[in-house]
Amino acid sequence: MARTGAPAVAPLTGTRVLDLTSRCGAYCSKVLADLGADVLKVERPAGDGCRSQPPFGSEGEGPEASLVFAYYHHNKRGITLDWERQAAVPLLAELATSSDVVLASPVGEPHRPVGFVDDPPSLAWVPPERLTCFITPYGVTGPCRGWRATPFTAFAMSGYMHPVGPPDGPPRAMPGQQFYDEAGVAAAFLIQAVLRGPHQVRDQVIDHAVHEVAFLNKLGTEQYGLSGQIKRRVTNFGPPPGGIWECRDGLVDIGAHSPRQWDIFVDVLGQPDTLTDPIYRERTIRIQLFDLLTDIIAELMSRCDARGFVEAGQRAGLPCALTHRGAEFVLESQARKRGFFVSSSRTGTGCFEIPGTPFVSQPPMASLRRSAPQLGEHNEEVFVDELRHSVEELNRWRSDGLV
Amino acid sequence: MASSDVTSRPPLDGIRVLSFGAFVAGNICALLLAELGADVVKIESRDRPEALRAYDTPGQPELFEPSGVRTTALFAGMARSMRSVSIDMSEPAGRDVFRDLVRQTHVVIENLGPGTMEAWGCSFSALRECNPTLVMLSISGYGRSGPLAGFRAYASNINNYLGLTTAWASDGTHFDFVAGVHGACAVVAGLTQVDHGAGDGVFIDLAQTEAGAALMAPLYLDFLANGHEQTAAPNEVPGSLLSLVARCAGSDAWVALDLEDARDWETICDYLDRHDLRLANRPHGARGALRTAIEAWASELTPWQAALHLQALGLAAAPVQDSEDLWRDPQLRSRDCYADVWQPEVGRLEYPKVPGRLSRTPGHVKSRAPRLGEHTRTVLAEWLRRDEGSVRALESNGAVWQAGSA
Repeated sequence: MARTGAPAVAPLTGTRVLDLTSRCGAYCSKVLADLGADVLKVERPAGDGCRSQPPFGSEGEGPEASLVFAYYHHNKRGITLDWERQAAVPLLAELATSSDVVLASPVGEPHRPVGFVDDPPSLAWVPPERLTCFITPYGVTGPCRGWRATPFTAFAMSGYMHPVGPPDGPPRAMPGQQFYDEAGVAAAFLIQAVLRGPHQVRDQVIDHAVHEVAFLNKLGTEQYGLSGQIKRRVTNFGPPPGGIWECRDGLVDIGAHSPRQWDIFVDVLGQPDTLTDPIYRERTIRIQLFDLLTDIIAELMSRCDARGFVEAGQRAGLPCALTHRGAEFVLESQARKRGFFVSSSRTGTGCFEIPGTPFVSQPPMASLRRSAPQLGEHNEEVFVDELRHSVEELNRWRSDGLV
Repeated sequence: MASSDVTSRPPLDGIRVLSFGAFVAGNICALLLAELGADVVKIESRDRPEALRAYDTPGQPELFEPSGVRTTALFAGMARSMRSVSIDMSEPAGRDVFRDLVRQTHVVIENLGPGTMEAWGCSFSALRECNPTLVMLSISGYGRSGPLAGFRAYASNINNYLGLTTAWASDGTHFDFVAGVHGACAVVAGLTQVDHGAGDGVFIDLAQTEAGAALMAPLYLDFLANGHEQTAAPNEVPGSLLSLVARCAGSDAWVALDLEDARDWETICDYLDRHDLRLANRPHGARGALRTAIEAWASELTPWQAALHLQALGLAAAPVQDSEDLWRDPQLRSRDCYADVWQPEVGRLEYPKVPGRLSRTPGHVKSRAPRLGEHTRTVLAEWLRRDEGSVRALESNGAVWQAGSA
């Protein structure tokens, strides 16, 4: 199935989202916007911090040049309003009144919206019957609620950094802002669930923390309460044949756990005598014999051709893949054939491809409708055309630095 | 302002889900739906229980349900809040029961091997014959179309295929979770789409590679736009003035600090009395010198001490928590993020709760994970109004199986 055109009616058509977040909420509102919501990104007049995030497009630096900003904010409209200032409250209230959802990060980021109330956590200017969703690094309660974070430090806190990197350290952060974005899509899930249908309770607050979404990932890998073991930094995930192997011409990753997958692996290698002992079929045995098996398998794999191994392995039903560089993935035909990369063109970043919607559906639900807004691009459209303020008022706010 | 009264109906209350979701991606998706209120029925075959039931934690004994089917602590964590119906999909009568259940459900989730659903005659187009407004989510490694549609994927394969392993390091499970959460999001979008009354069901084809690549985007953008391959050094945050992981007092103890802008830089220079390194003085080799100064300072402190000092200065810093730190993490403990779950074979264990902190209609853990086939009779009675006699007939020809029966 490929991405075939725009949806006739996207699921969130008619849903309005007021977005005061920065990095914590960018992916959440991107997902909502992709699904048809009218997302109004409200930046402080200096511009979202994301606008200075490299890499930049071919047209040089400046507030419109960040490719990262362009990626996370397509399908959104953009206005400016200094939401840290008390003077913004009446306008924020008007904007919230015409919205279904308000997104904000009132703690954990350098800039915080005016009107945040601690108990119960809420924004004073949001009228009833609107859903408020706080997306923050650690949540709006608890001893670390006020902690400032970046994806780098939040990752350190997640427990995911400590076991990764050279054995002597330092531990190594995952590049990018992936837990922020995973939290974003989880928030988009919660928001849509609350907005679905007339019987839902919209008049409530979601307190959503990046740290807790990252913690959910520990459901798979960590049972400290059971094992009492602190995971050590290792270079290979294992146990063999799981892990990465150096072939003649490149690296291959194998995921094989069940006895059946072990059998397939041994078959693909042509049943070498050194691997036919049936005790190796049990994963727990292979964990105990990690080093021995690693030596045997490394030698056998070094004689294989990487792509040939993956093709033969997959034909036989072995989960395995080439170890790519990012650029190699981008050039691979699978995602391209499925229309994953889409063309984006805008002033400041030029024309380039971006990753498209993270899933395909029939009928289609998501699409790229517009490129990311220029700073304050929709100020007149929103303040004058929609909220019915005069151009003079808008100019006054501008000269006052509010807009 | 939102009022604080909590109702007992979480948002997905009343939504029915049939799940072939296996291992991490499928179960996480189903778990998110279940603990936000959906009635999730997990379909498993007695002869081929799903892989999580056999994925041992090293050093722990093998665990068995009374029926002899294996179970694990992992399964107990990921399959909680679901019910289990055991159907033998290789039997025509089993497939008939499944299709009858499809008539009563809103959602079907599967992340089975390529071609499995089709081989059972249960492709989306076939199931839509039973239920025209069905939302079906199919999670796969590479997608259900394209040249790699037949490829199998295991967690770490996706990290490798996308370039995360090259850019960072090997890690086993990240994109499974990413796919599971995207899956839950897509399912609710599909339900909303159906609510709009278009009359059509929705088929969602979610490739772990694509959901993962959407989150990896910042790492691809320079190549996509400029043809440059990104080459950031480990722990170097693009755009930050200095980011580092410094060794602290203690064993394998570290603190992470991210100095994003000039104000952060000057703050730490002042705090460490290194005015010579202030940006205004345009110091030569300042990054290296400041790094050394921070490392010397941090080496006298524990990770939490260092982080607390740096946070008091308004800087972005955190201890690099290990698995023990995370177990006693004061923030997670304070916010009640652990679900205390009793599983007869496993004992009482704490697991992460799923995110769903809604002030008035919060999600919650509904039940422990099911034993295989524990709810076959109950669900067939509830969903299909099958009486005991007709279920026993199905049991006797092997189409379905109820745990605890002969």
